[in-house]
Amino acid sequence: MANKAILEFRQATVVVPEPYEFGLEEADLRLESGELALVAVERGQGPTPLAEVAQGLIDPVSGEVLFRGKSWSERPPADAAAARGRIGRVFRRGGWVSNLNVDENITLPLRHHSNLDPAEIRERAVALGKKFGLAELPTERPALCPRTILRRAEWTRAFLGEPELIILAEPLRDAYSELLRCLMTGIAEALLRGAAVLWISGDFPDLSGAGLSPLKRYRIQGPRLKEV
Amino acid sequence: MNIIALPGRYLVARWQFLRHLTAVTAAVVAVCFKRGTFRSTVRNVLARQVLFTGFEAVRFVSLLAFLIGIAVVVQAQVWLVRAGQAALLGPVLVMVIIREIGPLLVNFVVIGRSGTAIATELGNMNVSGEVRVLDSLGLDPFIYLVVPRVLGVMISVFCLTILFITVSFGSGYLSGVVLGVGTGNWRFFARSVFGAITPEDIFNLLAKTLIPGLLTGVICSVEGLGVSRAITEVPQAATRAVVRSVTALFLTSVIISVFTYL
Repeated sequence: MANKAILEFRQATVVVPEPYEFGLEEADLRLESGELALVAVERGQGPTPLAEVAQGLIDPVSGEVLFRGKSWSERPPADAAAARGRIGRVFRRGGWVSNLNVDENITLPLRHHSNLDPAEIRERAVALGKKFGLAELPTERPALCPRTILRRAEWTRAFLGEPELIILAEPLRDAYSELLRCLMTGIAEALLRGAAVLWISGDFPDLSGAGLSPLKRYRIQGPRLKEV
Repeated sequence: MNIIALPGRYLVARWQFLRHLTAVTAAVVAVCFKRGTFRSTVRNVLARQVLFTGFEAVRFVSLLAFLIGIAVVVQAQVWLVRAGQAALLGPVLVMVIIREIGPLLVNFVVIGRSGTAIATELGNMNVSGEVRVLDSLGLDPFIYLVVPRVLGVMISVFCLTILFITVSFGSGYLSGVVLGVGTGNWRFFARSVFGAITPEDIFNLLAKTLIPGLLTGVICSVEGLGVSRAITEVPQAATRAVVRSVTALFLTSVIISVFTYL
């Protein structure tokens, strides 16, 4: 039977990687095309390395993590980099290359991974940014850009290029609640075209009325990831 | 026991660093010849590096070359003419400027200006998690950060050295004319200098610009990316990068000179 999962953790155990306080213990997670999974991290626990493990940046000591049916550990570096290019990510904090302007940061992954004309990539980014409430792409350095703008710019980058998997680590940090609808629309459109979304935050967000389904919920307590 | 272990530990550490450096250098060279390395994003970083290391250093290198031209070329003209050895002007200038001073000074300038900048920038990027961000976005930090910087330094050192040689000869000749020393015949000056350049000199010039440039880029990148957590490690890494780059510069210069001319 063909493996339909976009992201799959199979009994993945990760020792505590720096700068995290917890690793992962025999974690199982399966995310298929069009699925949204919410992962709530226990309060006071600090950040989880889940996103980095999902992207193959941290290797499990046992078990495996597969993206599109292929284990990260089996992928040569160039193949792994190309696969990461098909993943959009919102970082818990940071997430910017400081010596590039915000607009350059937004288009960087697509410029690197595709042969599209830079003008067309910019056009797409501007159109997507408008959906997330950005009148135009910010052209200043990330350090000079207000945080709420930066957050929306990060959403734009994460959804640009129609990635197959979108990892959102605390995507609502620094964002006004009225922006939630923009994000929900973006997620709904991504799910409709077959992407999978992994949302990691301190608690389960209230998505009532957003019309997002199917939904999987996980909770991280210490190194344990449990489906709830 | 500790006294015996100390030099051993030092030597092992040196050996490991040297091995690491060799591996990174070989990887940079190998990646440069691989298809698909120079995507538009990487070319963009390369262009910025050449702009910063090469183009922005043009004025400073020109000034140095101008002053060296006055100091060295004029002196050579004065003393060789006085000694009745004007025919040796070309060989002497080629030996001093093209073989030694030009490449050495330009490498020094590049290490001081750009080597420290590369080590500091990459160190700060590593500490603030930007290298991890690039990795997350599918941009191999080695290809996106290290390769264009190393290549940018190599290209810049070579171009700046050519500029240095041209300006120093030009300023030396002109100041000789203004001060009324030397032959005053620019045809004689040019023929004397160009006639003295041998194929070995061309090889020497290429080797003394490209190899130290390669090593400077690699050493500074390795030191910068070696900064792990604390921002206080960054200046230490920059200092180490300069010391090691200068050591590599002198070592390679001596080795190249010995192999080329002896």
